[in-house]
Amino acid sequence: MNSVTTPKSKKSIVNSNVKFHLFLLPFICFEIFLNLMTGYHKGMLLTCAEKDRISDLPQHLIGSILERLPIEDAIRTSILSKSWRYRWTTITVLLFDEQFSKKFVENEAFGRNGFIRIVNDVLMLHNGPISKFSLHIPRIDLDSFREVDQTMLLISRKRVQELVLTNSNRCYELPSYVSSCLELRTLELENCIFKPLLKLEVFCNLEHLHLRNIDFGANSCGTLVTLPQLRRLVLVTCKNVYYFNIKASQLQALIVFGCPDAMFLRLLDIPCFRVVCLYFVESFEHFLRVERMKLTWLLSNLPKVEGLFMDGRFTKFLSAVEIPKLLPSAVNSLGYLRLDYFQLSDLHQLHAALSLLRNSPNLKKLWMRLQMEPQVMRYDAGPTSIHLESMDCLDKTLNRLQTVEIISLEGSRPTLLFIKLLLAHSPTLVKLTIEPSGTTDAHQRINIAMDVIRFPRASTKAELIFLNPKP
Amino acid sequence: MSKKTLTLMSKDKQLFNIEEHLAVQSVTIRNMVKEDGASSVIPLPRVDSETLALVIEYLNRQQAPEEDEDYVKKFVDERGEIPTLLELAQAALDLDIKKLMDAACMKVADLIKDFTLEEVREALRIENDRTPEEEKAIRDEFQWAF
Repeated sequence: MNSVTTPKSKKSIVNSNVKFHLFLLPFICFEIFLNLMTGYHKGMLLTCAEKDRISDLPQHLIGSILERLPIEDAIRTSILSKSWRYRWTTITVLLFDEQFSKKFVENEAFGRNGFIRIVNDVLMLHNGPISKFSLHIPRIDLDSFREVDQTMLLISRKRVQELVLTNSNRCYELPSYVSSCLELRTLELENCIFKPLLKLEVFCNLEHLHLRNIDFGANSCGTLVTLPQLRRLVLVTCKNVYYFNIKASQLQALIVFGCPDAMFLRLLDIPCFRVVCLYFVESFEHFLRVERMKLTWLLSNLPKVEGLFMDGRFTKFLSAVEIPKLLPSAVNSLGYLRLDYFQLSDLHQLHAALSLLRNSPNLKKLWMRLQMEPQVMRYDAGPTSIHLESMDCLDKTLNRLQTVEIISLEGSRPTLLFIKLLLAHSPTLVKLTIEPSGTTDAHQRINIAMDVIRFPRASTKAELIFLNPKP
Repeated sequence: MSKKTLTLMSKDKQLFNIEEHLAVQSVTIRNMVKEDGASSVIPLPRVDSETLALVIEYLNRQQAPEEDEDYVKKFVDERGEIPTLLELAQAALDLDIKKLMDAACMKVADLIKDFTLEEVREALRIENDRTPEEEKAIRDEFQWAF
């Protein structure tokens, strides 16, 4: 029976026209077999030649399913039948994550280093390459890291492409075997020391590098690390980043979170950035060796940036006198701006926010999380309110802005004036979402809503959405 | 200029038309088109018509890229039967449609994760050919997993 199911068909289809492509030939041999198999769920009778369904599927597909099971479930399948005995041993994803180690830490039957011994047993039985391996070292009283070193030795022979090592224990000194993982594309490390032998540039295929709680002072001695394929660099609460001298000309995303001496000036000197995320977390005074930077300089160094994320604390790093109203050249590429933990009662942060809005003519999406205002500022007019009410506060129309989301809103005067300003200057706004702060009561939330509803809107299509605070 | 259409033929000889620019989300089809323009019918001798109809429905989706992840997840969620999902995963593997295959495998894994071994055997039609002694030996070897 032939039937052409799409009405748009114009061709007449003749069976003899069928052309069997060479690569499909081996599959055809399976056809009779598969007919039997698929007959099963269509209510056909099965002969004694029936095989288990999943065993007939290619090993690749079985592997894909097994890889998505927790590791112990995957290993349990070896009991299913004789043909399943070793199927799990060729899976290419092995994740011994926090959830896994937790079970063994709570169960003392396996001894102190028991879980690492299990990991090593599994690795010794495993057969073939591993594409992704992750290991979490929990906070337990470890005698030594000797067994973890063995794990690293075992995986260094597995042509690993993605290696994740998270460590809640004391600092772990990575053994030199790791440097033979030459095929690494993704490397994520937490709380480790590199021995002098481990030079990051041996991983010349590395595309993603994620470092958390790494102290570069003890490691790098300022030598230049060249990673030509690196696309994404994430540094979270690392120390002595100042000594981390990296050259990565293809870097597209930079995420720096709470690194007290990140050398932004050096890191940002790359032309391909598409996403930049700069979170200081702590206040500026805690930072060492940080040179203040001009907003003009920052933005002129990011000619292709599409997403810019920063926290309020980061704006302190932009030198106070140097937040100009208009920049020499606008940031035409910027489509998504995310301002996290901003305090609009802080004149400095307000100026930075306004300057970014004014100089991003193609901004489509603005996301803001507000920081709780100091008590005294909450209902005070304050200098920021005066500034927000001045005529030339935002002397630009935000012609492309479509969605605005403001969360953790307490309803202080500067924040409401800021929303008023946005509504008045955004003629193409489609959606404004407001989520009040969890500290507000029902009465305050109604007041916020009543205020915002009254603000004149430049866009006739703007929808206002009020969400309940998240618990 | 009208959009170019390709014809795919299922195992049970049903024919399905799909616009070429949508069909080439399948790497297999993309390579065939590149090779010889794929002017004739493309046979898929391992995919039955019900599964192929699902694949075509997936390829024809009109999602914005940022909603695509959610869409494919929902798409497989709605077809929560293991036999259907396995057929779909198999077809997605043959046609090299990675997202669909990943999602279907993920869903199967999610479904069988909480099964007992007996339930897994039943769902996947696996015949237990082990003696209780052999079973015990494996349980002892991987004590931590049971």
